[in-house]
Amino acid sequence: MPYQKDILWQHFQPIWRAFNIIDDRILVAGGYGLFLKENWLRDNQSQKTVIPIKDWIESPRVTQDIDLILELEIIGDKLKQERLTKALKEHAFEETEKEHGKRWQFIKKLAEEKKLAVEFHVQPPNEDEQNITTTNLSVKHKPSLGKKGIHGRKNREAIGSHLYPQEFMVENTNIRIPNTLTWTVMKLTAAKDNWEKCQPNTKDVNTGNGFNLSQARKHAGDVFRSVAMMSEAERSAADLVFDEIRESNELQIAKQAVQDLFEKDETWANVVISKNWDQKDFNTIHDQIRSLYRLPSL
Amino acid sequence: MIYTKKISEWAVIEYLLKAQVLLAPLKCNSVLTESSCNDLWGADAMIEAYLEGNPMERFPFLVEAKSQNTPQSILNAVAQIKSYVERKDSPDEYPLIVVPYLSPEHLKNLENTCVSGIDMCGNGIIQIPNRLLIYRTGNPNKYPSSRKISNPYRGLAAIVARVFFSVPQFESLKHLHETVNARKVKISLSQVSKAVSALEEELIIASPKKSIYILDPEKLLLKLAANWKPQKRSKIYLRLRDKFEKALSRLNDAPELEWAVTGESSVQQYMSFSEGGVPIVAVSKFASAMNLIDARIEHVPNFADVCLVESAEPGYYFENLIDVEGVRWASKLQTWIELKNGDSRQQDAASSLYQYLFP
Repeated sequence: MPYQKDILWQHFQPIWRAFNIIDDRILVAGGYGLFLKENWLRDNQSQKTVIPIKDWIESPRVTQDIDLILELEIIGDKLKQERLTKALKEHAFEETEKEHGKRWQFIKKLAEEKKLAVEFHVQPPNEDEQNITTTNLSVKHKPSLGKKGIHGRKNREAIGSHLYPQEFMVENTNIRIPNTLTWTVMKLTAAKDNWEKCQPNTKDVNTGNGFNLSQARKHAGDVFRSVAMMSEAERSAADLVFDEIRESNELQIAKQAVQDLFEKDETWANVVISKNWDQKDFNTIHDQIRSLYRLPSL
Repeated sequence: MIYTKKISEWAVIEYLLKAQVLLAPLKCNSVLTESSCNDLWGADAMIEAYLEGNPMERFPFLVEAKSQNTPQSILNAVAQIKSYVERKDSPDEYPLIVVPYLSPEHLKNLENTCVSGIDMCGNGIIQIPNRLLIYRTGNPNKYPSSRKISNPYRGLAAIVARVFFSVPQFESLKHLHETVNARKVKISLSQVSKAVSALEEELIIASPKKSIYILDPEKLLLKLAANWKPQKRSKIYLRLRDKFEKALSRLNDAPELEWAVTGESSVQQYMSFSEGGVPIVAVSKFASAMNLIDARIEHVPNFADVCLVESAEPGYYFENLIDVEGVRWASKLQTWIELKNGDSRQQDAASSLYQYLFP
């Protein structure tokens, strides 16, 4: 892929490199992480994945948001916090003007009224950890660092993200993304949540709130994409992650979502996703999703 | 409507007797058979026809009827009617053959013979030099020919056809039968005989006196490829615990098990061709193969080392190329047949392999 033509990459790469110097455990999640991996696979077609990239019908999508997952330690580390904040400023990222996103969402204004948003996510701590405190929505340093620190948006579904991250090189830049199981936990939960917001009483894919509906579809599709691009080694890693987080509520919710969203042919998710894959590949991916969650094959 | 009962020669003549239209717009005025006319000189009938709208101009035909539409039957009919017309020495009577069905290929062949031909399905060619040309085709065959063997290009019968690509001539039917059996194919002499008869009728082989030899290898190849429709196969993807060659060669430990790498996965044995995807191996019995091969099932095809398909199709297992490690690869002919039925890239590869198939 000609990355020099990708405007998002042009602005992401420098800040990402700066972050990696500060802490090399930060992960790129969300749509952009998927996008980067998919493009990397297209440039490296010898990599064996569940569905060979050359057989994919859907092309990579563009996004304008970049979700980053931080280790809790970074939130509790004053020095790293200050360095991250400084790096954001140096690369022209400013705190969002939205009230609820303060200190975890940073915006860079690009040409022609475009913008790039970077959002920090973090798993909530199990108990009060030193130098960390939580609110309803965020995790932050204690005591507050004010404008010299960042927060992490509470993301319970990022559970296990620190385990077995996937790594690959793009233009001499090491990219790290979460393991496939954690990714599907995040996406399954997001898909189900958005669907429930727009369709409380029906399964009709064509009605309901437009934004939530499109988000639900997007996240459901991303579940399939993330599994389709899984290598054998990543599959083994996902299995190890499952063992680590098997008792968690988040995993159980995601496991239920697999059944609710994909088990029957006529579910709204299957109706949407089956348009992007041929039947054989769709069945293979679905089978692997179930296998990741240790559900029996249908 | 398709008529499945075997049709007799008399039924063909009866058709003529009842027909009002020979081949539109040519209409029948009268039909005389040997029971009502002793001037036929060996032919089966004489027909007088006229063009619709012009009843005064008559076209007399001397007719040879055949109950089969195999190339051999048609060839015989043409030869016979020509000889009758010549013997009768009546230049105003035109030769005509009648068979149950004339395919577009048959009609094209008839064009060069100067003999007219009609069938019982509405197809035909009426050709009278400098006077009349009518050509009708496209009507479906209502009388599929009932051969003694259902299809000489498929299944076990096709093995008889295939063997001619390694041994182009046989001294006798017995020699042919022994040659096939020596290649570990269980087929009876009577089955071989039926296959030979069917191939002879198609003018693909000839057996004057006792020896049998191939006449039209190109046509035979096309027929074998066109009729390659292996039975629906169950398949299983495996991760091997051993190297590919070592794992597969273990399948030789069961003498009753037939197995071979399929043609589409054997291409590299015969030419330079890069083929992605998992190698496919045909086995006659899954259970026997799984007992011998050290592997686990893999649900993601792209992660598998091999795909096993279960099939009784003898073409997979005939005249395999066995390498030094004991791996059985599909024969060159089988490889070509599968490539010919593949995607456009595979069909291109088939074109390159074609020249190396002829005995």
